Amino acid sequence: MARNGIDGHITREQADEYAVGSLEPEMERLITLHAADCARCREILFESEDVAATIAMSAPRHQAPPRLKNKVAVEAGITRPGPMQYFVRFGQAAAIFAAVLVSVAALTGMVSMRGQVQDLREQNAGLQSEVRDLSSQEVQILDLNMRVSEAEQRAAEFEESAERDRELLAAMMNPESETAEVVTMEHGEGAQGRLIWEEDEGRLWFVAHKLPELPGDQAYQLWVEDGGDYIPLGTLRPDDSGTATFVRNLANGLSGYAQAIVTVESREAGHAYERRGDSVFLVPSLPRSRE
Amino acid sequence: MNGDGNPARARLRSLNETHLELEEAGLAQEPDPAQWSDEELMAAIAHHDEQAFGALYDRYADLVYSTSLRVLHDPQLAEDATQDIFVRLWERPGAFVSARGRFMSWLMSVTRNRAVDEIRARGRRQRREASGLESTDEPVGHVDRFENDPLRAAQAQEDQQSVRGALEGLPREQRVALELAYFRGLTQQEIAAKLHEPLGTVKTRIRLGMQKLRSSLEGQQH
Ligand SMILES: [Zn+2]
Repeated sequence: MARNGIDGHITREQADEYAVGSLEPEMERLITLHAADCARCREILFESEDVAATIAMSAPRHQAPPRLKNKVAVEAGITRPGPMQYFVRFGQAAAIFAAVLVSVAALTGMVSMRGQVQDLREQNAGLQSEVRDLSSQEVQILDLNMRVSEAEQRAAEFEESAERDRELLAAMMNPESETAEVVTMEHGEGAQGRLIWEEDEGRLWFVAHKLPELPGDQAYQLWVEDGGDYIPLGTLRPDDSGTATFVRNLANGLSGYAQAIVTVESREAGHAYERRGDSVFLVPSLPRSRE
Repeated sequence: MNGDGNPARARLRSLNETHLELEEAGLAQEPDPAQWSDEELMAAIAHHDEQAFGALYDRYADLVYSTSLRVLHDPQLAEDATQDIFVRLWERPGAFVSARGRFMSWLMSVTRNRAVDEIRARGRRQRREASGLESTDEPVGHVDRFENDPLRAAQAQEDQQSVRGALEGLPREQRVALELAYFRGLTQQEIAAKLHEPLGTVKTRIRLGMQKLRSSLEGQQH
């Protein structure tokens, strides 16, 4: 092993150098290869990575741009992330900051939907007066922050949904896209679905209209089937009119899957990963990716 | 279609034994994903749990963004890197499951490597040249990001001051060597050349620096 530059197992020092990234590429590769086969050395590397992580932690902390969460969700194919519930920073300045955000949110919303803008404006007015009355009570500030965060999130969602509609239109017009026939099953009575495979973007779209409203503990779940296995792709989230637009990147295309299906599943603490529910839509044959 | 007969479930289970335990322990007992451990969240993410993903994002987005920004010195590139890392995490949670180790350390390593790959891809010549070692202390660019928003700038500054980095306690030359490797992506030889020091000296500084960080970390845990 010495001829490889690693004398037996990886030393603590080598692991440290590996974790901070200071090794020459050749040595780094040797260590990676060795650790792939050696559980003992992997443990040493993990421990060094724990230490190296404290270097990362020492970087000055900046807040990730608030819009980023939505971008990530859209890019990941999660069409409608829930409201940001975990808004952790709050302080005296945050209340004023909150009012500023709502104004921005109201402006953004104006471009998209008039109704919601009115809503945001009312909230904004309410928040402004609350800010004036506000003492330093943290509870109020937290509440304010939550509401603002949700308002901001909603504004971002309007924007994203408009953007998504544009992208969907482009996908449907794209000569490289293929549309699959969707059969409406018993439990989707009256609803219509369409599956679009956007070859050049590697994206799967599923659009549904007139989806019956579900109780809060149930969700429409999209699956692809492969030899009897059902792989969950995500949930369809219908808006008030029963329209849902689902999009997800599938790097490996649809070639491995025989058909797709949408079912109604109950949400067990947010988990819907086991196909049990009634069928809403069936896509008996999927478009093929061209290799 | 019951649970035992569903091969997809079997396959998903095989992804992570941890989750099997969680299921049996009744994950539903704690409905708020924000209270879950990192590993529990990752196990749920392996099952496409969007709420778990949201909670994980909220927990680590700032850290991933800050680390990326520290390496890349460019808010837009840092944002792209952060997006990339979280999207990959959602699409390929198995990358962590198979790697094991502590989630946060793994995430930091992925973040650092993603960002350093980016500067390496841009070419070593184009890399921002340090005019002095001082510039390794502060990312540039964050000022621009907040310049139209004094409140946010003030808040960021407040946050920054409250951060007590683990590196603070190290002798300066050890800290610099570690930072040049970790945040600049320089190898020991490159650091030696940059500092006009022998390679052995640089190796010693990195070794001692890591030892000190390790003992301060252990000190925190006990
Ligand atoms: Zn070994």
